[in-house]
Amino acid sequence: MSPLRVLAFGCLIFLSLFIVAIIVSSSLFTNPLALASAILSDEIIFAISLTLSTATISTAAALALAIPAAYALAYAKFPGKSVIDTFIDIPIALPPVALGTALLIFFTNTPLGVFINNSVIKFVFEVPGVILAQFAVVSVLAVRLLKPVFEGIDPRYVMIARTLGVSELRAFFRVTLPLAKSGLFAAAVLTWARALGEFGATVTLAGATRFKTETLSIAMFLSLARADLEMAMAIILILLALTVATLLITRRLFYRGLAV
Amino acid sequence: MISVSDLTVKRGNFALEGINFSVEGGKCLALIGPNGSGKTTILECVAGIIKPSRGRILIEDVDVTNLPPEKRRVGYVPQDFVLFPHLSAEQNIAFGLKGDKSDKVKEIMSWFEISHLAGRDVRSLSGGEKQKVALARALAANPKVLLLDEPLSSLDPLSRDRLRRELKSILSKILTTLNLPVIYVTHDLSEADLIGDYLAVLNNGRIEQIGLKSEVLAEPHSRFVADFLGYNILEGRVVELKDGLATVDVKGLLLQVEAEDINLRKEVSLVLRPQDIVLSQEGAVRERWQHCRCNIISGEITEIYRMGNIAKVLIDIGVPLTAYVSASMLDEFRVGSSVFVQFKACKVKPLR
Repeated sequence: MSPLRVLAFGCLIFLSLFIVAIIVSSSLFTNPLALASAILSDEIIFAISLTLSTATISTAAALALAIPAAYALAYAKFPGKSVIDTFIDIPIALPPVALGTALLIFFTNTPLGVFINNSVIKFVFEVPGVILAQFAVVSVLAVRLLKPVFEGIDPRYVMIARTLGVSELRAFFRVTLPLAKSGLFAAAVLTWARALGEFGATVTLAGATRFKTETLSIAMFLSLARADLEMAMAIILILLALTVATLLITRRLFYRGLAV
Repeated sequence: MISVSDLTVKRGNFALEGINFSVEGGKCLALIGPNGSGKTTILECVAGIIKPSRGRILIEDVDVTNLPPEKRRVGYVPQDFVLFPHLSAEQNIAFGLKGDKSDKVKEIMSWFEISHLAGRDVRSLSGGEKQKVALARALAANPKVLLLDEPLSSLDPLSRDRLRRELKSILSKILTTLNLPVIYVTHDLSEADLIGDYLAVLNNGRIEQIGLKSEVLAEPHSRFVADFLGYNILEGRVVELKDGLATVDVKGLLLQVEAEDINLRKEVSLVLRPQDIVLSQEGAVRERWQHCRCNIISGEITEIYRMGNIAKVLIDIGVPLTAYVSASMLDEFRVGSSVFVQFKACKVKPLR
């Protein structure tokens, strides 16, 4: 075997073992009974329920905006497209805590933000804040994931549909969306998975209040703060199970979706 | 009827300029030209996919120049057919139909003799089956004009030969039954010859020559057209005019040319079709040509290419010349052997 291959396989094995070792060693830290009772505690059940519901809502809202936005970025030609394309990457590159801080400042220190927070929907330190924080982080990720899905679909399908008497909008629903189905589903699962684990922006905007804005990530943060390692481990295992399931689904779907 | 006037499109470095043609119902215009000459751009303008910067497109006297594709009633079959992969063959055909679709779909599938393909995944169809489904899909939407963009180009050579004849018979049926004007894009001369009623030769965004197929093939108007059609082009100088016959000196060879509008001592480009040349081992004039003014020149065969039933023979007569002969005659000719080249004076046409 050539030195390059030895080096490449060595690095691959090291990284794989590194991930497995962390998971196995941390799960061996606690006993199964203590783990089971932590998983079934009211606090964890609340956190699971809040996490799943907020992540689902924020993912749905993110996709509702990201699908047309990604379609526009993939197909439309307009001045300033590359600037907008770059702009959309900012929330991805920015630390989530910075995004949460910006949202917190907006809702507490600007007239429009204060009006919305006081008179329309209360976001600061409330559950809608969890959803908004997740939305802010995952919506641009959804655009990034969906753009290549739409780019992978030959625009001639829409053109042919239109020559057959179908409007551009109907062609989008009858041709583009069905062709993007696998990619859309995979992008939705990845977006949802990212929303599940969102912490930085959520804790800044919605706070870390037990049984109120306590998502799984925040529950882990709170359990670490009070040195409750069984609880932290239980949350890690739940998140791990969700992550593995998500990755398995997306590996099967996403690459197939891109290849349409 | 479709009528296109002064169609102009500018796309980056490419420009389609001043395209004019019209095709009546039941006739087929074959647009032919090399890659990048603008054939597909013309179709895309007619289909409404590209907006022209100038010009007008009338379909049955309705100005569709500024209408979106869905309002034009144009049946467009693009290269490689672009069938919707998420729909079955039947669903593809029904795509453009409104209201009760099943009867119409059944009718058109039976018309194309593809009823057995109804539930098939279009990705599993053969090239010929895809072609029929794409044509059926385009015609099911009740178009006023049919546009075909190199429908045979994505097929392997064997299937192409078979499907060319099949397509010809389908198109004849479409032309006579539906009385639609058809625009057929190809870069293959034999395809255009088989399918088109009219021929338009495109070069670099312009129509070099347009007319009845027989006229264009018989008398190319420019060096480009003659060259594209694979004709021999001989450069010479008129040295004598006598009794309606010109003698042209082509690098020392004196060729007899029947032409009226030709001037003494002028440089002239002569066009001679390969199929108008007869090869023989003896220099005697063919019996049937006894009463014609005829050129007989000796030469040497330099290359022979078999092309199915015919062979392309390259001959050196002082200038290179191409002739087509029946492949069955190849026993008589070998590369390097001497040969007599015969062609009638009336078959040598000066370029205008």
